[in-house]
Amino acid sequence: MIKKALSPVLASIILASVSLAIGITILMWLSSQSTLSLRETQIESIKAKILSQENLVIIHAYYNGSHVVIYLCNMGYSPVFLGPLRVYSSHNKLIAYPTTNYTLYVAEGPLISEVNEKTTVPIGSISEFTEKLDIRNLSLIPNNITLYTIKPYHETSNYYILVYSVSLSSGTYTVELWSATIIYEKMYLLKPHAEIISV
Amino acid sequence: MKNTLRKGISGITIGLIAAIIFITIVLPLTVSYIASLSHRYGAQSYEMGYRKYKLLEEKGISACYTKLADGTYIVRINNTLGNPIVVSLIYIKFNNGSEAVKTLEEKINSVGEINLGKDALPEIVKLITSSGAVINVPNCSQLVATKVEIKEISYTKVIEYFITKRYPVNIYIGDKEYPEGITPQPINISRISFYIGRIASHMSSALVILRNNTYLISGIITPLDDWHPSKNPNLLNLLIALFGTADYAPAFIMDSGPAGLKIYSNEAGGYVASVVLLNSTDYVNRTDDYGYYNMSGYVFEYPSSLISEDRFVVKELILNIPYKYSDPDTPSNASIDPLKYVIVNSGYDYLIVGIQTSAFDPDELGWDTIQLNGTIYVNPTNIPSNKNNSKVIIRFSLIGNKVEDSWYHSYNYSFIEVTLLSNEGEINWNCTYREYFKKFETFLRATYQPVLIDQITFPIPQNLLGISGGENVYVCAETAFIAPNGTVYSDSYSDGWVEYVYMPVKEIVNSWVNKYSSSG
Repeated sequence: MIKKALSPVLASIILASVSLAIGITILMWLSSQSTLSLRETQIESIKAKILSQENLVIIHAYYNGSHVVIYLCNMGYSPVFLGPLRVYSSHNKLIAYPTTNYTLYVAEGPLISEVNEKTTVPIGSISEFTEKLDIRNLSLIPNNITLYTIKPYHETSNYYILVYSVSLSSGTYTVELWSATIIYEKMYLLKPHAEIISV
Repeated sequence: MKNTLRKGISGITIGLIAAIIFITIVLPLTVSYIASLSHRYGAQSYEMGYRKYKLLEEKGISACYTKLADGTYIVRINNTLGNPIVVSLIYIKFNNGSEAVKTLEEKINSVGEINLGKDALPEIVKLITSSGAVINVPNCSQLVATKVEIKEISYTKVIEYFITKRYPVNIYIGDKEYPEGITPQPINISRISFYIGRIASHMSSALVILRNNTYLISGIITPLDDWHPSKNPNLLNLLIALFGTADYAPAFIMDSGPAGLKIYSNEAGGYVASVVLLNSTDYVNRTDDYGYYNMSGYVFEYPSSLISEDRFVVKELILNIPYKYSDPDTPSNASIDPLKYVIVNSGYDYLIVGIQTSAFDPDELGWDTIQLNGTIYVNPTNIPSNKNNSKVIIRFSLIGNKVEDSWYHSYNYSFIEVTLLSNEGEINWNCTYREYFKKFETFLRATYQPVLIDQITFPIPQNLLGISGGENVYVCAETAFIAPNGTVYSDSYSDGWVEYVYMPVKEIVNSWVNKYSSSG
């Protein structure tokens, strides 16, 4: 049997094609990585800007025997979304999500009604929840979350009342309310606002 | 020829690939990273400025509520910032359990009042300013022993009122409030006291010359015994005139005469920073470690001479008077209270924590020696599950021995230990302290002698706590007096933990240094 030698031209073309294919694959992979990195950087950048202008204020918080009640207002100039609420002490750690666990009411002059403006979005970063909210059990983190919108006081003269139905034993608790934002249709945590309450 | 051509084509190809990689990956990443950095930096600066203003409002505005003769409750507000503020909301919780939130737009320039109506007695009152600062409003009767009416009071009078009535407020005077500065007038020295018209400070940092005749005073202040009446009788008149008592030496004095500005502090653990313009070099600048343990103390006085009529101008001043949180428990022996107050304050870039005991003479209890031990727990952000897990724990112990004289006595104190425990281990630490002076008198003469260290404060660098301005810190303390027979009188802060918003002034002081160090 006579082996026919591969033509040098064909060999060069095959080699060039393979090199080009590998090169393009590597380039595409690098490009996708850079796109991901770019997106993360953009999200962080947008978040930093929103965070710097967020000015949610807890006016007063207390426990009335069956509910944690928090009076709050938005003294910034852009709407703010309300995120999770943590109530914790040395022996107790509770987490409450907007609309499912706690209700928000708006005071418009003498009228007090439940806040209608709500937005449901998926959670943007699970690690943010585990790190910032100290959640060990991932099943406690919902896939989607419905957020209340708090409008600026300077535009509306409205303040808000958050009511969380919970049974607390006596002691000192930290009430930590997180503001949130929506970037690229996903929810990210912004800043914790804490008050100490005695039960 | 062929080889050269091949090399050329290879070079061009590699160059093209490198260019493609650079254009598609490296360039966008670099541009995006630079844009992100500039965005974040801009956002952070905005947030810092925003937060700083909010914190200044929280510290520079004091208010209390009181009931008028007609049954109306009013909030009296004192704005020491110099700039007007706007109160946007008031939250009131009444003693019958009901609550109310009132929305308003009340502009307060220096002193103002807000009517709360004739509803039930308020229990909790909070003001929310347009910047989002939340100001807790206590009952006026909790703050002042005697009823004081504020009527058409000037800015300088407000400061005087706060200082002489010992409100726990901080003072911030900038050149926006007084573009021309404050220029106290030396007055007839034979009539009242040579201290009128003087600025003096006992601080933990040396005097810094910013340029020609411009100086920076800064540091933790503590009372200095050589300004005390027992050593310096001329000071007695001023102390008695201000406080009706001379139990403590001063730590900081700025005074422009009986009708003018008086700023005076006799607390250990206060913080002062000031830029002053002196029109002569006739000032005292020396080291004096009294009141400081394991750290240096410096004295600044201007003018130094009684006969000098040199004036000075205060261009900037911050005086952070320590916040004192009263321990509400009642000790079994009313005079022996090892923990009367937990002290917290903010300095340049450090937190200041400490304790105050009751002021008494151990000799009246028949004690030749007295020991004071204590532990202060400090934790950032939240209350730790166990106080021993606090991020910083300070332990101290000191002992006083009686020294007899012919017709009076005093106590000499020495520190046994002062340690600071943090993530970085346990180290010997430093503190500032204040002595209580007791008056001894015969029909011929009187003297004041130190009998008890009743205040001890400790600086804690913010990096040890991992905090920055605007963040909460939680402090609690345990202390004990030990009598010569071994009886221990122990006490701990019975309200649990003190919550305090840390507000360092590093940025403000640094901006002064930049402003006044530059030529012109």
